[in-house]
Amino acid sequence: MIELKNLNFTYSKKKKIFDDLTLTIEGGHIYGLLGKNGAGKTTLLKLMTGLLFPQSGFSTAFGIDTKKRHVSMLEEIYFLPEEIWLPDVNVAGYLKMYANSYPRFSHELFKRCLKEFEIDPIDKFKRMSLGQRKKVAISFALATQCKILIMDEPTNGLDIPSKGQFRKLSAELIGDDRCIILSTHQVRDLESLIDTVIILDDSHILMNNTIDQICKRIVFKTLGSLDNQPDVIYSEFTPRGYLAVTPNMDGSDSKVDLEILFNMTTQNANLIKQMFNH
Amino acid sequence: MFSIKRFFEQFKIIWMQNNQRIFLNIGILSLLIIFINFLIFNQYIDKFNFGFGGFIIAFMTFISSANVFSSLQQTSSGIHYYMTPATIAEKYAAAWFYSSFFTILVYSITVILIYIASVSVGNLFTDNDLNLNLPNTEMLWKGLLGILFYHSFFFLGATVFKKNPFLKTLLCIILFLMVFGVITKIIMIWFMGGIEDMNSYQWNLEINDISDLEKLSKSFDLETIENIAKMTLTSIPVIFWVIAYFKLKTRQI
Repeated sequence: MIELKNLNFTYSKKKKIFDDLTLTIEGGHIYGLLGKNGAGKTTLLKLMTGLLFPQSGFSTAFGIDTKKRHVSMLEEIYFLPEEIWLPDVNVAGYLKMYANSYPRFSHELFKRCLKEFEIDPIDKFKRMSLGQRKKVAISFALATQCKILIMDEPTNGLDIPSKGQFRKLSAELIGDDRCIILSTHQVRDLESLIDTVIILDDSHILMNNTIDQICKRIVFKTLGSLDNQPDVIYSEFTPRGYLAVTPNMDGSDSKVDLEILFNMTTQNANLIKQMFNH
Repeated sequence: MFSIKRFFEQFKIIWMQNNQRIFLNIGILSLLIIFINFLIFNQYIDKFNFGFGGFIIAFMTFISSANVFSSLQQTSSGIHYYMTPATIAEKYAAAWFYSSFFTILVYSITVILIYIASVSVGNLFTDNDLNLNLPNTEMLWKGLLGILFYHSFFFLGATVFKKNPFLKTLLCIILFLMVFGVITKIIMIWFMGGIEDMNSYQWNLEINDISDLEKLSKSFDLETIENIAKMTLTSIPVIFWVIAYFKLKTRQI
């Protein structure tokens, strides 16, 4: 669906944001894009959508150069940025303005999402809280039924029940011909939703693997002590014991802890590259 | 492919974003014009109609064109703008049409209606016999071309300046006029051979001396200069509108 090939991007000559980056986004997945502050997550999303142009290399969506901002591409990609913008109208006005631009926009799905999020459609956006406006924007994004849905920090500003509703609605939407890319620091909010993890660090992609692939190679466990545990490749101390990661030698099943995975990956980049890429 | 349907969708978006402001502007302008009109009613009603009225139409068109790409002033609204499914040509055409002909039409109707109302009320409550002194076609055409000429500056300014596009463009226009004035003077000197000669021609022209005018037309081709000036004044807005299109097309958010 999206292909980035040998992509180079920089804002200034001093520091490259991406150096020869290659990445393929396929349908049927919910991607979690993780990275430290300033790693280039939002920049990557903008390159995928043609909002930024690479200095060299290619960025294509559905085979179309994203730089061209072709209508057929824009009809199939919805980008919800972290800071949302809504005009000074109410929900009905917003629909009147933008719904017609998306060929598969579902008014029924939009109404359902608003109902789930408990949003009163009569209220003007001006009078809504940040969280409420975010819920409207998420509802609209889901209702466009675009093949690629890109969301930057979608759970920021959402209350606790809404995070669950967001997960539920997003999971319902996914199909083989669709994908969702979620860029987030709030990994706990989206842990159960993400099925493929992309970790960005130091202008490169450190990891691009499905949860299944990750589970096949490493095991997440809680240990009382690290004594006599030579296999531990990463650990973090918590009041409940050590959250540890070991290689999966015997095909054990474990639940991926994205926070631990991220910290382990960024601190042991070479080891992770060896384990996952070769 | 340019789609008329998407063009109208884009136009609708701009209209819905701005209609409240337009209605507010019309309300404020109506009060202002009526106030000024009644204040100077007996003497200046004829002067008001297409002096002050024309100024208002032009001013509102320039404000509208300077702010027609206000979505690009913030990253979040800029993302929304560029991600909305329509070609750059459709977005550009909608913005161009809205900020030029549509705005001119809206404020022209407003000014004319206020003028008609003012004259009617004036005739009803005073002994004056005021007429609707509407401008002729030539005046309207010249006025329209003049507004479109400066529209191109503000329209380009809207794609170039992120903050305060109206004020920044206004400053650029003042600079442009200064530079244009200097260049014109240099060309005149070049054609006439010296500043002293030019001053004498100007002085002679002012007193309508036929023999000097003949001398002047012999020394350089007035028609050629007029044509060059016309071409320059026609090509400037076209060039600016084209640059604005490419600025919009290549802008990154």
